[in-house]
Amino acid sequence: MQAYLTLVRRELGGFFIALTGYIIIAAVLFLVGLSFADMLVKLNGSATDAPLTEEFFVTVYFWLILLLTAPIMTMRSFAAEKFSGTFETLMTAPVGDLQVVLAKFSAALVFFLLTWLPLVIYILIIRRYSNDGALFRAWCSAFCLSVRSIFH
Amino acid sequence: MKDSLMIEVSELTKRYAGRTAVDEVSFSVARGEVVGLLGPNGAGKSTILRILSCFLAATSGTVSVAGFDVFSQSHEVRRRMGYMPENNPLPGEMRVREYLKFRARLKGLSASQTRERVAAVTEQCGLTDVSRKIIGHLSKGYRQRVGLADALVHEPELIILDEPTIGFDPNQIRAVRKLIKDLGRKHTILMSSHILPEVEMTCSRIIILHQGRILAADTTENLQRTLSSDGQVIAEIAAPITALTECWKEMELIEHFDIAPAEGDFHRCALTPRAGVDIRPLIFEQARAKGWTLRELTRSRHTLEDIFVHVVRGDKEDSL
Repeated sequence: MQAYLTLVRRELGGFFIALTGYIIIAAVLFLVGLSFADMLVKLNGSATDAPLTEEFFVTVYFWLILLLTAPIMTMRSFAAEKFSGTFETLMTAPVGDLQVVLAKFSAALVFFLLTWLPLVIYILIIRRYSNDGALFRAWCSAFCLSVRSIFH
Repeated sequence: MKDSLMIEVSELTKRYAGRTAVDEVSFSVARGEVVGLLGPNGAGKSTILRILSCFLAATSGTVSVAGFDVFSQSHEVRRRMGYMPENNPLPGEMRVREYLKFRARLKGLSASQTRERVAAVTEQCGLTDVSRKIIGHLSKGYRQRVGLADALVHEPELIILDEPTIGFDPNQIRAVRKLIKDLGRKHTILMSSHILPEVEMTCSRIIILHQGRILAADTTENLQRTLSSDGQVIAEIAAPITALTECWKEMELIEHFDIAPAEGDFHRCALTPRAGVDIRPLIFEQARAKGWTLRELTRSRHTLEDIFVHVVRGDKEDSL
């Protein structure tokens, strides 16, 4: 357990030490913002029967974020270690393979959820002006989807 | 399990797709020994060390460290072993202290142990000045020390070092060798190298590998002795050639000699004794009796380099 927590901390720290972490955060923030603006424009136009959730998931922004950031974050996590050779020191330390995989997964998931945080603000804003709680469900769905995409 | 044995390798074989890297190798290392694995590139040194450190699985054979099997009890083995891989990979973005703390925690040390051990190895490896620096900004010599500090941080019983002095300048090599020698007093060390004087200087026992098989395994002195029994003696003496020739001819113990002029009045004589006797005292006596000035008198000891060439070439001739 100690090894697992140590590894999660190290992995999570790795995202914030390198520039890539901040670039991902900035890019997601930008795309989520665009998505929100886009949705507001749509909501201001003609009335639609489709639930808000659907409006959110069909936008190109959502898929861009989901399909781009997950690979950028996760593809490197093992490959970079193998490339730099630190994989050898990691795997010869007294830690199990499962611990390493789980730690990397958890760290990626936590970071991914952090990048989605701005969405919470939009949920609050929409709540303020409407009584539709759908975006919360959207966020939950995004969470589930991100679990899946990082898992892959 | 015998308690005095740190490493026991028996009939270890490792095959990579169609190529045999290690072929039925057996050896053992006692507690407290400093053993060097020596061999040209591709001899299987790194493969053996990687199997010992539980990074690779062997094709066949058994390996145990401190009585634990590296395949079935790898967790116990890893806890007792500090391993520094070839080229010493380190995360370039971390700071020295941060990295050592991370490694200590990863290896299961408690918070207080971690604090204590990180401070101790930082001191021991001479990292005090750079403990707050980013590893990527350090020189190669310091990085190596970070690697060593990492290998030492959990107080392992066994330290495995894969080519610890690769790519260093002579000063750094000397520093690392000294560090290894100091460590050898408290720990069992298994290191690999293809630099011969290095193992000669740091290791008490040497295992020579070639194409995945052990060619020779003995103490450093024994290896040198077996191959230097025909010890030639070099003497530089200021005397006329004719007098020297006469003198060497008279001496019964000298089987063969060569004389070459050196600077000034000096002549360089290469004397091969009969039946491996040490003729140095005799030569000194001769020089003193005749009133010659003697400025050098050495018996040419074989360096490991000679041993190595001899053993490897001998093997080739056998197989032809």
